Amino acid sequence: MSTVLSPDERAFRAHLETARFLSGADAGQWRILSIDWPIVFVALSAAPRINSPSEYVLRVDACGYPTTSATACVWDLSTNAALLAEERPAGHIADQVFRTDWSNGEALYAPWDRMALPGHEAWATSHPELLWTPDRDFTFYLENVWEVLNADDYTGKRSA
Amino acid sequence: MQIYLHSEGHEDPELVEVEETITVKEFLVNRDGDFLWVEEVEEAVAAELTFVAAGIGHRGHVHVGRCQKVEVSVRYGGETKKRKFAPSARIRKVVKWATGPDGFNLSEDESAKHTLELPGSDHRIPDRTHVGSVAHDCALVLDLRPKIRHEG
Repeated sequence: MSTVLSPDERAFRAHLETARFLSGADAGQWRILSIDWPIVFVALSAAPRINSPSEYVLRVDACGYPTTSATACVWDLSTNAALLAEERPAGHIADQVFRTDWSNGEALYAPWDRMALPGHEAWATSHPELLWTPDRDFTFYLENVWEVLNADDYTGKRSA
Repeated sequence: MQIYLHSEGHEDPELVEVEETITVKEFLVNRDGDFLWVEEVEEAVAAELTFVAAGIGHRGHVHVGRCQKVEVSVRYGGETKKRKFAPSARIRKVVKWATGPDGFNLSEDESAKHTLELPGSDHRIPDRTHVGSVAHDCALVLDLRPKIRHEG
């Protein structure tokens, strides 16, 4: 018996077939670990830093995609819980995106994350290039996170 | 095999099927470009070479365009620096040049906190984007700007 996918899951899976997404996957920038809709686990590679992991995992909730953005939490698969503060990525921008002193650290503090937008309406004018709009796709979300983890100002995990 | 085809006017590549024994000349028939480059290689591939002979493998990245070179102008602090790049050069390469000693000579710490943006664009250019994909008339203007933390 075939499974009928919801419109948001169908749109999400279709975007995983785009050249832009596949190009990043082929380059080792990201890899989908599992999809149990609307929860998606994805690993993103990080620039080499001393005593730091080569990749971080996001637990993504993509419900309502792409009308609304996904929201994600940096995740520890071994404990199946949000990554502890000291294990999170650090750096000029990373400190902010992966902060734990906001929303219990359960979402990314960034204009492309669904949970971060309410209350930050000014981002629409101050950071339009980072803002989620329904014509974006999941690769946009991943590219933004990947750039934070691979920027020269990323310094590794906080406890490194 | 499949290749990622980058071209003028298209920021994202296409994934296209191609016979590895086809020559560059044959591939360019009815395509919007006169030359083909391998990603990050300065010189265009000779027209008589096959893809396999040119070292282009499955899901390799190539660029097709009309411009032999793209003149990139980077604006920063009221100054403009210019340099020519192959159309298949990635934006990452331009960032390194623009922040380096031949560009605006930023310190390592300052370089890490700057990025390139297309003037007036509503999105950032991914580092892997080809220079030729976002150029117009063989030229490209970019602004070097500080990465701004999105404070609440």
